[in-house]
Amino acid sequence: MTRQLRVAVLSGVFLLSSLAMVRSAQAQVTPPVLSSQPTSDQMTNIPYFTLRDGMSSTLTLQNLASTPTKVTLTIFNTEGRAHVLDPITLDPHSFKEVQLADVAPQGFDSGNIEVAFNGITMVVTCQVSIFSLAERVSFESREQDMMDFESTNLAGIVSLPKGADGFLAVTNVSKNTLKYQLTAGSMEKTATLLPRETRLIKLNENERVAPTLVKLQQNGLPGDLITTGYVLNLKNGYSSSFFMVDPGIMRSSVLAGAHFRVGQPDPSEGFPEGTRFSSPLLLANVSAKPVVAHVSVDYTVENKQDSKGNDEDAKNNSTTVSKDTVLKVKDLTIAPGDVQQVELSDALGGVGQIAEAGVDIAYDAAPGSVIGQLTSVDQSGDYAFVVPVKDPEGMSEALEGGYPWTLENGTTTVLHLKNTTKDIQTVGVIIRYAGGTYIPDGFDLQPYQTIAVDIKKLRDSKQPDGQGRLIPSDATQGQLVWMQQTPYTVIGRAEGTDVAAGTSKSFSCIIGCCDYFWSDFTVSPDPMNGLVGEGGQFAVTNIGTDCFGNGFLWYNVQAKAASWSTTNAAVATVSSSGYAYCAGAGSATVSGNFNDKNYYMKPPLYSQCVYSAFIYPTPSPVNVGPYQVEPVADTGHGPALSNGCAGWYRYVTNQIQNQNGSPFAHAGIIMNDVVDFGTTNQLGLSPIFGNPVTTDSSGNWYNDLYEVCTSKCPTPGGESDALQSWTYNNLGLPHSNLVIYKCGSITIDGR
Amino acid sequence: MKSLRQMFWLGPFLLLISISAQAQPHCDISSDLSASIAEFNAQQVSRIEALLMLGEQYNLCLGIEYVDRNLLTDLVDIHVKSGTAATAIDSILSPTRGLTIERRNGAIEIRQRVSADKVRNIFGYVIPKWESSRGPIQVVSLLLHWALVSELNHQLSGFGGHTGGGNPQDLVGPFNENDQSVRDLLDKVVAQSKGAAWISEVSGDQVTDLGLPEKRRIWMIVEYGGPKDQYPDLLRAIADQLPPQVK
Repeated sequence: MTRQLRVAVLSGVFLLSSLAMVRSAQAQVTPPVLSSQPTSDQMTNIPYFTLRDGMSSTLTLQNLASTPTKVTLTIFNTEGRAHVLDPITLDPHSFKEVQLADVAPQGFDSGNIEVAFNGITMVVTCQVSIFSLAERVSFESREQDMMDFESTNLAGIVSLPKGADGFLAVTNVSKNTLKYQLTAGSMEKTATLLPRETRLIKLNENERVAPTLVKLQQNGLPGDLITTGYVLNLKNGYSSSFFMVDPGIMRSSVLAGAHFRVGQPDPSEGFPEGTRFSSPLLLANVSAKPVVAHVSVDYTVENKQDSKGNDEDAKNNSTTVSKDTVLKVKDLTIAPGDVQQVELSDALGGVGQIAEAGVDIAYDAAPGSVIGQLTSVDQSGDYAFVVPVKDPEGMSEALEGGYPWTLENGTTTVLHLKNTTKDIQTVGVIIRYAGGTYIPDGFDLQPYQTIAVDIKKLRDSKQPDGQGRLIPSDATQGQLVWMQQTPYTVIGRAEGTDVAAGTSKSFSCIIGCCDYFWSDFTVSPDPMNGLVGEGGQFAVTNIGTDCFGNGFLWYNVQAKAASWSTTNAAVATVSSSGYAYCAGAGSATVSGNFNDKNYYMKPPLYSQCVYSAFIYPTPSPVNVGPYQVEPVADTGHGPALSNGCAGWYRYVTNQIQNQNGSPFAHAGIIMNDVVDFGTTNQLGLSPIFGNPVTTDSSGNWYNDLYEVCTSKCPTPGGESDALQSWTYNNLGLPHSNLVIYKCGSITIDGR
Repeated sequence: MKSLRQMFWLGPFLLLISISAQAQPHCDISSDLSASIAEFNAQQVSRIEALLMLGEQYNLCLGIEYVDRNLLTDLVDIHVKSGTAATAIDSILSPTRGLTIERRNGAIEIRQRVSADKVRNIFGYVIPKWESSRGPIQVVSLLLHWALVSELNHQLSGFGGHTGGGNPQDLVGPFNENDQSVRDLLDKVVAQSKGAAWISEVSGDQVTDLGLPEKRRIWMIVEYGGPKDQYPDLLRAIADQLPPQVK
């Protein structure tokens, strides 16, 4: 072992022993006392389901609460007639799939659904997946709530590949009859809808291939009319959704989409050989003036390393090097009411195997002037994946997302997260499975970066999380939740793909703004013990708990502190990254001062999630040099062991301690002592000195024998008092022990 | 009274077994200097640490009467293959001239070839009578130290102090020895151990100072099989007590 290595090992022992002392900083900084978030009756609606023409509909209900939640479903048929199902209780942090064919009575083969529950806002999310395994088509009908609407105007973009048909299902969820007006190119329709009535409108009565802007106006209140748009080609298996959005909910002039596909997919995904994807991005100007839109993409290319030239490295994911790049694609000038198309794959030719990609659109006009539609599709049309293009600051966005995940029947679920800002953004992720939780370290997303969290790959990697937990190899479904630390900076969605069946599901609901969120920071070691000249790194973990009982973890955030400070630089200094240096003997308190946030909905309209920032200090004592030695356990005593004299012996476990009496947990310190008898020496003792001993990682050493043996025993009441002065590594300890020897007892500092 | 004392001896030791029980190597008193050493390797260790590692690996109990700072602190790589205990020890200590390696009293003694006057050498000091009950090796070592101090200063009426108790399972004794040198007694103590070496804590110049034992301990018993990283720390502690050495 080299000297350098030994020093490193000693430092490691120092850190390890210190890490064993992890304690929550809550002891110093008390988190707010939390009351339960109030519950109330909640209701949400899903615009469409159908069991007609060989289609199936699966309702996915997701409970984000840490308690069971009872849900009441009401199915409405297309005429608006209601059928109430028996209540369903959803287990905590779980999802349940309901095959509507199993629960819908006769005459209810198509329509809409109302989901009612009592709980906190958005604690239950839902959507209907409509699919046909025979035709290899699937699309989604998502729940729609008040936060999706600011006005009575909706707009969308429909693109009909050759041979495909476009449909828009419109549902009146109000209690009044509604009148609506639909325009799609040359088509104009005006009609009325009875309460809870659903009408399916075919958009291509006349053959139309060019992408078209679809507009919908209604005469009720915002949110009275909800929609599901989709496109199908049953001949080649093409299927896609399109979204009718209210431009009025947009609050920025930015749109973004997380994860689109271009070029050849990763072979591990299982697509047929030769599959190639294109991603036509459609942008429509829904304002009255021309708009310039700037389109860029971010992408990650993974280069497999083959350092030995034997292909071994390529089999090892750890040798994969990721490179994130942001690339400007095109600037577009879009006339009012016009739709323009940009093929995103055109800009990405020749960059290599793309592991992940996202799109950003910035436009030079008022928020809500531009809407977008993006579908990644292969050359056959069979594999089509809708990519929601959203305003990251839109009213329907907020703080968190929660989705079901499944690996059953060959399905893979991948969480895609996209940073929509020019700054690094931090996200926490929780993956739940039956009987457990896996919490990977938080993710730092580079500017505009899109990342993929592949649940199956994560499970199969057997990579433990920060608490040493794995996703069990037999875990096949559960719930995942993500949270952005700064609202409106990140968009996310989970995509479940069954390549063999040619179907997919995409979940992208946002679950609100948690005004009962609180976070805590823990620092380790606490305390930090070191010797003069040594140093140690503080490790800080941020724990964030949301309204739904989800605990997010961000490890090793020490370098993100706004500042680090010390109460006594003569004892301990600390760097901006939380590395403490032991400058001189004594005790100091070192604190990392972290930016923390509270979230709440901004009054008076409660339509915007905002945060208030504050500094959260994380103090930890730094003890430089021990202070004293004290016996912490008595392991035996009796008459003196030596021959030729009489007296007493006592075995103790000694411990090296800080000034406050806590262990100076530090292995390998050489302890020695000097005994000095003072004027009270009735037993006529001469000192005898110990040999050096070394501390263990707890700061202890065992079987220290104290003995008095003298020809003057027994002497009733006689005693000899000694001052036992300790040294550690040849340095004196501030505190000496008073040892009182008697013929029948030995006490150390009165113990 | 003595039998009662022995009962008291054992009580706390049995209690302590659970505290630091570890499988100990034994001290093979049948081994002599011709004992075969198939292979021995040590990287970046002091030569005295290498001796301890060799002793631990091949169950050789050692008495290391000669030490200096270089032997205790200079780090070297040692590689011995197909030799005897004598050649292995010689190889480890090769740069140091004038040492004798001798098997005595069940231990392998390493000391200066030309020692000082025996009367003036602490380790050659003869104790007329030394008795000790059976007990942990570190405690017996303490009692031997006190016996030496008492012999050197008959005015002392008693002692008080403390020592590290070491492994309470490593029991040696009882001893009832007459006219034995400290060196011989230490050899016998470690020879009965489960594996240990005694190491001088004094330099060649200090070894003639008969007043020294009253001021501090002059040898250390190092038990084999303890924490793996204890040797460097303990040897550093010994080196710190020695006068500086010109290399």
